[in-house]
Amino acid sequence: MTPNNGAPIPLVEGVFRIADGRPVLLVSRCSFCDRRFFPPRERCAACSSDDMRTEDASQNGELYTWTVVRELGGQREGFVPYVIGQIDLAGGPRVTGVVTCDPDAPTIGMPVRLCLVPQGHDNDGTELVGYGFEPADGTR
Amino acid sequence: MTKAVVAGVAMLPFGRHRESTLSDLGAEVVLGALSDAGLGWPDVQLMYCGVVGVSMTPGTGISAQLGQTGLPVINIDNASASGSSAFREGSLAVASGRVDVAVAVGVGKLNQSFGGGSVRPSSPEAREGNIRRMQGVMPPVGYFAMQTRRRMHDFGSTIEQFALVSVKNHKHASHNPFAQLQNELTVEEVVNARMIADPLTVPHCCPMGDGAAAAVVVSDEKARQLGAPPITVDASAFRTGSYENGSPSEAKTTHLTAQEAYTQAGLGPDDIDLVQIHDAFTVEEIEYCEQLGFCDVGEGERMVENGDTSIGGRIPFSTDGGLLARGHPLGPTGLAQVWETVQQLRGLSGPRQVAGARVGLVHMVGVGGVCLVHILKHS
Ligand SMILES: [Zn+2]
Repeated sequence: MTPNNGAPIPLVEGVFRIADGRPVLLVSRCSFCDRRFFPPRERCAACSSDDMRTEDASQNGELYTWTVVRELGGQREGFVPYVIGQIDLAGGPRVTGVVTCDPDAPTIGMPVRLCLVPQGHDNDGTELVGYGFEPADGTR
Repeated sequence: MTKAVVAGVAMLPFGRHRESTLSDLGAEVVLGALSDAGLGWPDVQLMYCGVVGVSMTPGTGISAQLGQTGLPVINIDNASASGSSAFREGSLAVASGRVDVAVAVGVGKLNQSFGGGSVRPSSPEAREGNIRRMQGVMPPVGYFAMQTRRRMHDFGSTIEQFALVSVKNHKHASHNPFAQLQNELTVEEVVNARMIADPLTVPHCCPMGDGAAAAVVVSDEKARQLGAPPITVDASAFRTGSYENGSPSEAKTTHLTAQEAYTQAGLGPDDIDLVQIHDAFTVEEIEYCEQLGFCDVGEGERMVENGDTSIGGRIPFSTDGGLLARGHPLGPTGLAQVWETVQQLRGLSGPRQVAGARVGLVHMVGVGGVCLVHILKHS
């Protein structure tokens, strides 16, 4: 029996939570200038205010731009190729993440949604997950 | 306040220098730059050393090799902009009247790796590493590949247009014996080369390597004593990123830093004869050409296509081959740009000489949103 009743837990706390099997990114909103940031931060990058509130971002967005990383300078050959992109979440902000689709599939403007991505296991065997994006229309 | 004058420069060919330590490489170019200026090591009152990501302090090692005269030596790590930062600090120290002779040196050897973190966070650094791991391992090429892709979408540019930057830089480097890559390339060869991060193939990206470069900066009075050609530092502008749409943007930071430099020098884009930029990836020349004020946003591709940024064109960029072909060992890169600019302003650049060059702009960015713009003038 692993902790957390066998359910996967986020690789990093305080960055996203899991709802209905999908990640919800946690965003900091500046009370002073209203800008939003991901990952969450304690001080506004634009105006330096420390009056930041944490809120949920949309689980849906569209692909702003993307690339397929095919080489990583020597090590980690098994890791490539992978698609990585910048995603404009509905209502903002723009975030970076892996897109779990075929390297031939991405297009700018493509609808995507958050998905869980395996990130190995903790020392006690608990499954760890991160966040990523998948095409929202079901294509892979 | 005195003006800072660049009285001497030296560099080693960029590429492989495995047999030497960072301090060995640095000592060689420091002596070279001093000899170029007609000075010796005991004349140096202050030294800044630009270097990236090594635990020891190679600048201090240089002074240990050349003679322990007791001068202050400061090592600067500012990513790609380390050498440019050393040059700025040396110039400002002279301009403030604190010293008459300052040396800026930059050294670098290939020891790069990109990778993710380990398991659950036990330290703030590990936590940040794991956030980056979730965001996806993003080598610099991935970031600029995404920028290229978006630009193709926004402006309808083609990958061939970006390839032209590499073709042009390789052609410039073919006349530079200090360049790491001196072979010429065609657009087809660039486009059909091995893909690193779509749509960028190998020649869209700068090579890594080893190298060193140095500049000696002196007061104008000292320069007159030495009979040095009056190549003055007319602007030294330095900014870090300003927040824009989710992250600091190199483009915006470049724009703001250049404006500051033009104001300091009392000059504008029309007064500049040649430009050295941070062109680690081809899209950068096109974007910085716009942000430095040489054309409007969206016209950068056409500048390259027209040959405007080639030697012989309206405003030559990266006359020594730039990061893409001269090379980018990080620490010394900004000082190699100074070396090239000084040689051009002295009229000593041989087959790659920009005719009548009197004012050179030097631009560098570094990871984290650092940007420097210097303007050097043959007064
Ligand atoms: Zn704010």
